[in-house]
Amino acid sequence: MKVISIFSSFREKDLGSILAGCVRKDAQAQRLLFNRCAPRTLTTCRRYETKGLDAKDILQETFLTVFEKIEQYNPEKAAIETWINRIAVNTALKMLRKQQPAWVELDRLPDIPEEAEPEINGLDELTEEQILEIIQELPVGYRTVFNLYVMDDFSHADIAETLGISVQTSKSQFFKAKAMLRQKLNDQKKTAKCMNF
Amino acid sequence: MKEDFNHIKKRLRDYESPIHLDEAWEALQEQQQKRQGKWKRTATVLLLLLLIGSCGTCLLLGKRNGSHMPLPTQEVVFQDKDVPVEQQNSSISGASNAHHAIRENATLTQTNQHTTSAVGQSSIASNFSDKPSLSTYNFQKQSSNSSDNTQKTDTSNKNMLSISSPAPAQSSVYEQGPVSGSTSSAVIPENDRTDSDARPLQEKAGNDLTWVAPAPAMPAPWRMWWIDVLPEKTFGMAARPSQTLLLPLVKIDLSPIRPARKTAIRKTVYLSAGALLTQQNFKSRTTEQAEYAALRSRTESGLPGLSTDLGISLEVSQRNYVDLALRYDTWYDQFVYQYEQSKEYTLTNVLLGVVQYEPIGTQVRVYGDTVITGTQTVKATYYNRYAAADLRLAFGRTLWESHRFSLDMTAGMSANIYKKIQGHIADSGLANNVMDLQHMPYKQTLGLGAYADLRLNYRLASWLDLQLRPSAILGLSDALQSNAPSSAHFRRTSLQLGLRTRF
Repeated sequence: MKVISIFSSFREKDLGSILAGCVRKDAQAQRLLFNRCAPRTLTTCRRYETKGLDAKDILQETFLTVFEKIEQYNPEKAAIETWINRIAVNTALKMLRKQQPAWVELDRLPDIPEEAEPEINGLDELTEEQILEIIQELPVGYRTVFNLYVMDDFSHADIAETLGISVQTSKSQFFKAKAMLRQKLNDQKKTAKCMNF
Repeated sequence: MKEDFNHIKKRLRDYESPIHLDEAWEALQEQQQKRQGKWKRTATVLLLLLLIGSCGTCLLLGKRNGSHMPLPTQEVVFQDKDVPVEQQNSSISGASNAHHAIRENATLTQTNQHTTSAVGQSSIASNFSDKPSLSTYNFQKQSSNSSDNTQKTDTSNKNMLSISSPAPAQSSVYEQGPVSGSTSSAVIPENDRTDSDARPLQEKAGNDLTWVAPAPAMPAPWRMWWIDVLPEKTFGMAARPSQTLLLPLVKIDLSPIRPARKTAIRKTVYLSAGALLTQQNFKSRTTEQAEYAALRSRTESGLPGLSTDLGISLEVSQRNYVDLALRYDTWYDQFVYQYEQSKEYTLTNVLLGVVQYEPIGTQVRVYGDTVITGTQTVKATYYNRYAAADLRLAFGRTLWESHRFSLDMTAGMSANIYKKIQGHIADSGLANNVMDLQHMPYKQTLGLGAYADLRLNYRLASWLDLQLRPSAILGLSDALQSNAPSSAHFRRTSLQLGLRTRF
């Protein structure tokens, strides 16, 4: 009964108390933080998921790092979700690099017929799961550049430095990722039409 | 460009993926606990390894120091067929007194040459016994002016090579002419080695160095194997009693400290080779050897050689791994040592005295042979080639990692499973000037040591790295036999360049 009451008291407490509990390595506080942030962090992890790298593994590593380095979190600089999200991105990149650094061979990916500034339409009509699926279907190199640039606010210079590629390569990969994304969207629309018939 | 995706970005940022929180939390907690307890476990395993290794070495050395490995003792007894032994002994003093005899028409002949040809191989050992060496034959350097050395017959120390009265027929008195027909015979008793206490070979354990994956049902985190290493034929020492070196090999079940993740454990195989510098640190156990050991330690501070490594790394967590490797080193040395050696010379046709026959009033001069002891400076040059194979178990950690480069550090234990010393000594004191070191019973020890290295990797391809590797092995146990007059510790540092492949 006592445990339940403590647990419920934590639930009611604000984020500050939870973080303070995490600093003290309190398991209940850690659990609360995990419950609160894990679903969104998993979305980030899924964006970087590959064949050999499971999103749940990234999530696990991310939260292990979070609990380990929680003292370093400064609430004045960023929200806890943003901080955890950045840790998730870094962890995913690290694990990807360890696994198979696919972006080394970015330039060897199949060429996509370049068109002037392809526009992406129709993404808004899709659900989040469908968008995630489409992103996951992109080759690892394209996807990593796309994720970093679009979703995680990296500049091309940052991407180039992080992945060890040139800025120009990063730009061209983003362009190609967009083109492939558009192609996939068109394919999906065609499939949807066929299904309607 | 980027703004096209702002809406999706916002949607995905706020999107909560479906997840079984309880399940994920349990997995996380389990992983967290393992990570916390991992260092304790690692330290325990290391301590256990050290303990088992030390016990194994102590046991082996203890057995070796007991009746297991009797040192070879050779006695070379020179006998004159015609003169009784007592008379020979009494004649020695006469011979030594005769140093001051008048030397007329004296010719010097080296008795050693006679004995060498007479006793063959055993006489090589007796010649060689006059200088210090690495071997377990206890060679005592004879003092330069010991004219009484010929009288010394030290049988108390079995390690000493004893030479009894190598004075051929000093007491024989002849008139006008050298001794003829004075033959020497060498009696070399059989070594009192027995094979009865030699440990039988454990064929079941065999020489299987394969790291077999542990059965998952085995609850113990580690198990032990004993591995035979056969020094007898391998080391080219057929004369030695059969013996078995047992290598304690601890097999660690890595499953308890493996992270509970779906991704498979990464295995990295590497092969590297490079230059080696070895330092031999000799220590003397006897005062006679002190000068020699000090000189040799000073001289042999950087012996060149080659080093090869073949190993496998098993990742236990994201940055840490266990490293198991076989390392083969070979290095060379050339050591020059000068020493004084006592030498026996036979003076023939020496005037031993004058006999006065009173009644007649005539004098008879008595001539004969006598042996005197002198000294000579001997220059011995050692040419050795060492070879050693070590089995290494180490823990590694990736210290730093970038796009193409990574820096790793490993540290652990090294067990010497094989050692071979080949070479020869060019010695001006020897009859044929060269002695093959195969007669030298070097200890083929199972030496434990500490090991550490740094690895700088440069990725050439997704599966292949170029590796630059400075490493060091510090031998913790003696490289030579424990009851030898001198012992050596080896410190090996190497810089290797190699390839590393992942699978």
